[in-house]
Amino acid sequence: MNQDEREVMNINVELRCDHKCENCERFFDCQDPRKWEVYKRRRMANAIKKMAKIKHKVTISGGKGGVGKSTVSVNLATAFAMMGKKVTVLDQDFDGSTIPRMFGIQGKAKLKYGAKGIIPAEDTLGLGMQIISMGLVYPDDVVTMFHEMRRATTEEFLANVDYGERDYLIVDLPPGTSSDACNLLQYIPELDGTVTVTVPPVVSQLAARKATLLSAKAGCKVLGIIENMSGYICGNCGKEFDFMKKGGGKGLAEELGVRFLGSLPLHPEVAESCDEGTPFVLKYPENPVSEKMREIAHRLEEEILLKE
Amino acid sequence: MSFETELKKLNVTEGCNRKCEDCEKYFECTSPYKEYFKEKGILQFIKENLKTVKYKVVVLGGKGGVGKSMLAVNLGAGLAKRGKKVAILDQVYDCPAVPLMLGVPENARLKIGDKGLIPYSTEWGVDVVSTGLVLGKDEVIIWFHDMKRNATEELLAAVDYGGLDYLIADIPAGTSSETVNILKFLPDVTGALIITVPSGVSQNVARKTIYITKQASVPVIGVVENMSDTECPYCHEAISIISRGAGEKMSREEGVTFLGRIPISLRVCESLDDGEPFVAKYPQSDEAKLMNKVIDAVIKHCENSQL
Repeated sequence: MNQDEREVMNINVELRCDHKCENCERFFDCQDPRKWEVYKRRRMANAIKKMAKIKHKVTISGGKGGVGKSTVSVNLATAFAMMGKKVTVLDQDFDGSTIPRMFGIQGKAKLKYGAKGIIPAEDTLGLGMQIISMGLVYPDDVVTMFHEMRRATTEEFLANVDYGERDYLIVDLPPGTSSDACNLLQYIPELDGTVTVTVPPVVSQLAARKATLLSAKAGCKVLGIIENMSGYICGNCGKEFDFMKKGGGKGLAEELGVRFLGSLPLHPEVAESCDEGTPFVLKYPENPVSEKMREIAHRLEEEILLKE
Repeated sequence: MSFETELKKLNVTEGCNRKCEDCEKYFECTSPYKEYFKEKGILQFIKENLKTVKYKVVVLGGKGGVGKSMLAVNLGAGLAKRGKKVAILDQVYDCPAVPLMLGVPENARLKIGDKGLIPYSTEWGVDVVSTGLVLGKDEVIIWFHDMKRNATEELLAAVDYGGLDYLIADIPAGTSSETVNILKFLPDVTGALIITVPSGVSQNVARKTIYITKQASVPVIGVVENMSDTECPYCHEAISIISRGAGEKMSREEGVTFLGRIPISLRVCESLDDGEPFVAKYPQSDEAKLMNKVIDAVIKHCENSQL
């Protein structure tokens, strides 16, 4: 069978199909090759142009909330930046954006409009990272946006930002497998892959599993799974103990046949640095968690470069 | 109730199509027209269907992974233990965890009867309605707003709840689709329980949920701080895994009751993995004692609200 040809599993014409692929819940299920025209329609041509000079694009997803997607995004970005890369962080969590706080720029910086579109905020750490987030537009307001608005915002953040030349774009996704995750996977041109962040309990693996399956469904490569909150290192005696049963992340990686990128324990300095607004890999480079974060960054880079 | 409010802006906007049921700005809108929405269409069916439900409690967090489902499950099991009739409506469509946390077998499915969907009865005396009882574990849901709204309407209007003392709605992270839907379509919510974690960075989101309940005129029962202090098993030094105390500070600033801290522990985690709510499994533990305080507060709030 020719690579472009696929078995027809059902007739594509549906009563409900209005050929507005950009707004279809079943985009990833649909077999109609015309759906790819969506990239040529509307603003997608712009997104391709604006993002042409970004070398690698990675999304951090989790399915479940509060597993540390933002913490991982921020520290992964910082780890890459410390390796001399030019990194941009795109915060796709519109309702509860925490990225600006973790970089210590909440309420201090704002996004601006320039001649070439939105100008991302810069970090204040001297690492030359760019940050794009809803929290830099509405720092304190409640955001209630339904699907259409979310899609429009995703489009705006992809197609109307002056990214310039970058090595990495790291996208932090909110929990869930619907609106935001789906919009982004549908719209972002040439994504390198997704990373799933999970926590150790068995009960959390269902959400992580669904998020990973969504990426596969969208035709994205799953670069690997990270198990966060895997144990706690006591700040007093330095010993590690578990507060959640370990190994759920590794088990899931084996089950789904994807790479296990590593586990990250918690440490008092990690929590403190998140609240204070300096990524821990930068503030406490000697910390064992920072060490593990850097290892994960290296493994991830390996996995991304493998594709080429 | 008087409808007099300060006119913040002119009600007529370009975008207004008078479809209040599908409006993002519903809670901000000052137009009296929105009150008519309550008398039309599906809301009538929902009111009729929920006539036999005494109290409705929503569990909100705004942030993900703070323990909303854990709180909902233990609140449910605890109330059931005290002889109340309880059902949990799981609003988390994408990745429903409530059935797992109550030990519902993987192949259990919702059934439909003469009067609509029949909630699944668990061994803890709690009934459950969840998409986890409809879909398999490898099926991924991609629902945009309209579909989620339809699902919420369906689960409120077409489920045969029977006579209930408490209906607990477990709401997913975020302040948009699911949160707005349930606050809009669930009539006369008795109260909202807010759950947060101790870190400062999480409070912004928790605050936003308090604002949204205010906009929706739902009283806040209180704030619970989950994943709080514990002690090191080796050196017995008191440690706070994710910072400390920001939940209490936040609730003080917002002027809502602080109900207490649930310490982070292996026991809580294991009880959820095993599908056995800790209030029922380990009634003597510190966690369960705190949970019982929360349950007392919920009962007190609900019973006083009826007077």
